[in-house]
Amino acid sequence: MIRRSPIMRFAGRRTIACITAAVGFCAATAGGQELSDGVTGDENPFAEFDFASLLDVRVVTVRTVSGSEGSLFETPAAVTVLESRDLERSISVYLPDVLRLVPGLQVQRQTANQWGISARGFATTYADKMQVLLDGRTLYDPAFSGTIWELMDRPIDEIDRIEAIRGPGAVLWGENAVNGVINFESKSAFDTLGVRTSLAGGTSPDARAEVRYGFRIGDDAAARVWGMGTEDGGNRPASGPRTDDWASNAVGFRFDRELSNDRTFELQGDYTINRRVGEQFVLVDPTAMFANRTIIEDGWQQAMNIRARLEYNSPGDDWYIQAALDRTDFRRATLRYQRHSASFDARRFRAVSDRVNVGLGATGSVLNYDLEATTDFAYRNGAATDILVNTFAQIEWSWVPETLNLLAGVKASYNDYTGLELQPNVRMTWTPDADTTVWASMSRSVSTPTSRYDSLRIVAGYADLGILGGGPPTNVLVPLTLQGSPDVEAEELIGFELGWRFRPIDGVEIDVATYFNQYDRLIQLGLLANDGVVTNDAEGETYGAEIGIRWRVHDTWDLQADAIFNNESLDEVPGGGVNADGAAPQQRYVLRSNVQLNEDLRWDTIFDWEDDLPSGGSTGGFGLDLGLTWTPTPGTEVFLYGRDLLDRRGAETFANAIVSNPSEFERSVFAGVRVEF
Amino acid sequence: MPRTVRQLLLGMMAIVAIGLFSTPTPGATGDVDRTVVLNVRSACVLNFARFATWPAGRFEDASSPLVIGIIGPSAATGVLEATLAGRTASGHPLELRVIQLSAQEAAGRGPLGAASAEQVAACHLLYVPGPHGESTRVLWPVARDNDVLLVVDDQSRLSQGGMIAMPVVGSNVRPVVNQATVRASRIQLSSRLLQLSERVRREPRP
Repeated sequence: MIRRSPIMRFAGRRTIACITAAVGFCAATAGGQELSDGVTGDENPFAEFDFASLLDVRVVTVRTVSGSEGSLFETPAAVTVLESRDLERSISVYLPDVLRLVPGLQVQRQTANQWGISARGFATTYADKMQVLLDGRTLYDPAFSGTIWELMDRPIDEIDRIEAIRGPGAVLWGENAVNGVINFESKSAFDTLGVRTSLAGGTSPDARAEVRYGFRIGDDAAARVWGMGTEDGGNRPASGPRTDDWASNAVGFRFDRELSNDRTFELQGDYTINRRVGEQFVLVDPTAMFANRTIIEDGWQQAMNIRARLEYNSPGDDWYIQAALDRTDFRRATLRYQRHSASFDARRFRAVSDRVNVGLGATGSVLNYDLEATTDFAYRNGAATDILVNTFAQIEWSWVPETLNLLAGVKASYNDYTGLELQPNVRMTWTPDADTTVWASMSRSVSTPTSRYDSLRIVAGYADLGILGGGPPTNVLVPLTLQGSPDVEAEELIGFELGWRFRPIDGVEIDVATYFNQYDRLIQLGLLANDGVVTNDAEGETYGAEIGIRWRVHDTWDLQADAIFNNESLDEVPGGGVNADGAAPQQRYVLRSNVQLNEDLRWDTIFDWEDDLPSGGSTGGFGLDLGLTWTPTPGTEVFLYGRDLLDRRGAETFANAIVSNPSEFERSVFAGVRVEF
Repeated sequence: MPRTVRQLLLGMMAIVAIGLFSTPTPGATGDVDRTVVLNVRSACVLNFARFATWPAGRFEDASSPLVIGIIGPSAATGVLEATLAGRTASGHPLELRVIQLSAQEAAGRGPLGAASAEQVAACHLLYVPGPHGESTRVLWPVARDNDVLLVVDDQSRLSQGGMIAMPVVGSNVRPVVNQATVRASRIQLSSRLLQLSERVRREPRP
């Protein structure tokens, strides 16, 4: 059974009578005869294609919203798909770092265990405008609006594909998919039979071990269990006396059963626990006016989840229903809570005629929080329950078959804090010929606060009571707090996108995406704004372009060049805030090269340059990652990674209120062996 | 929750529920165009013959033919014949043989009869087109024991002994190599083929 792609569903399908390869296959078949049993056909026009080009030939299909997957080339969105082959060549140890391969994604590693990942600006740690999913289960945590990347550490080999949308993706994926969506799809248990082990070590991380065992259960089922452990010490904080150490351990399983030719059942679960030593936090000092103190904290966090899915796939109709349970213990000096959540998701995509396809779905979540007050960061309500409900409907219409396709959808969602939100989206693709696609999109997306914003209380500093009153000092210090408000509304984006993909010559594909995003009702957390009360008064806009060129130089050599331009113009928030601009570089250029040197040796290179952060961060400059992989025997790989060899990254930082003091990352070397049998 | 909001949400959920659980419209399913797929798959078979290395002794000499078998009849037979005509693989001329199975063998109920087994064993590569996919499970033991590269269409046939499948994924044909069955034979596949293919391990079911 062919695995279906959620992203392709997002994009809809084009009804195409005939799409040809670059050689103009229509002519070949039109002039040929109708093939029937045992009848010899004309000369095969693909017979002398080199193998790589053969696999690029697009077969002629009549596509449906739920049929075989659509082509990325014709998708009306800025989408990047990383397949397992790309992941193997990512020169990465941690899963979040793999996302550096996605053009237009800003990936910042702040400490040994924290990442900030966003698209098109707003690249703070725990970026609050990116929706992140694993097998359709949301990893976005509304408690503080963000994704806890350190609690989804797992072997990269567990992942089958990563689909990343830059830009709004609200209709299918719901609120908070404002600046983008990242969906990780894990491998089927049928594809991971046997034993796989990986042992590696280096300067960062110190050591990492992974083991997996997959086995068949009867004729129609398979399962795997896996475990991993990482020790990552010796990272140097930007300031302070101690190293920033992190140990991450996880175990998990997946069970797949083919109930029939078109029905499958999946059951999956995992448990992650990580331990931090020496992590630094900059907190306010209650003994001095407007002073900070640095504390060093050792601690742990954990998360566990279980997910079940029943899926049906057939040409013209597919659906799934999924249920998941999660528990997360988030524990840091600034914020501590325990969250339990249960979610249900059902969606169906089907063709209702040759030219019309529809998608429908409904999702419900119940989230229960137990929040623990900390010195600087607290909620007035220690325990709370949030209910989120949403439904979506999407219709795709092949207006002019083979040429013009329209996609319109709307998501209606309700949460018990900001109420009903409607998020409409219209997309269009125009395909004048087989080697050109022009697409455009207009959408409204929202980033929804939860009731946490109502009861929020952040101590931003201490001030002398007398000075505050305009008199002489009294030596009585009072906290200056940032207060939540019951009037906080959802942040709104009206986004416009225009894209163009074309193949100028055989082997070269160019992908251009441009955007203009208008933000309204952005949340302000600045202490000095609005008397320290959270409001929605900020607004602003971002615009930019992402240009990607892929060139198959030779059967054994692929090159990819990307250029990303991003400009932000957001309201200044006095005293800083979650939506301050300048968190992403305005320009970034990336060159990737993947070379198969000979049958056993692979050489991967990532060379990039980005300018300094407008906000004054120091991530700019040249970067170089190199990877060599040697396959001495089938099933055995020896690899050597050199990361950040030009020692650029330093502190990749743009902090928000609840993260720790950034660490600096120096050039690192990592080597190991993988064995599969 | 205000009443109007509740009614709107309930209305949408009702529409979604009806859509989710209603019966699909007959005749609205999509099709993959057979002609292009047949041509691409046949060209893939030619490439597999060029990317594979058979153990010493499988060829009498450097100029003896490389025998490609196809289970027939099917629409693929003629296309493959046109694809292979006049071409070579590693210096060997290509010879196509159509193998017709008994009804029992075609249904996958085995073992393979002696006559069919002899024909299969004489091949270097055997292509089992989709309509004959059920026979994969009875062809597998003979293919394994005689180093015959067993190529199938559907990925589900890999767990019946197929060594390489050619499913349509997205808008392309995407080869999937079953490392478990390939390694059970003495056939070596080039790293170029492995690099461009998805690789899985599926032990054949009994």
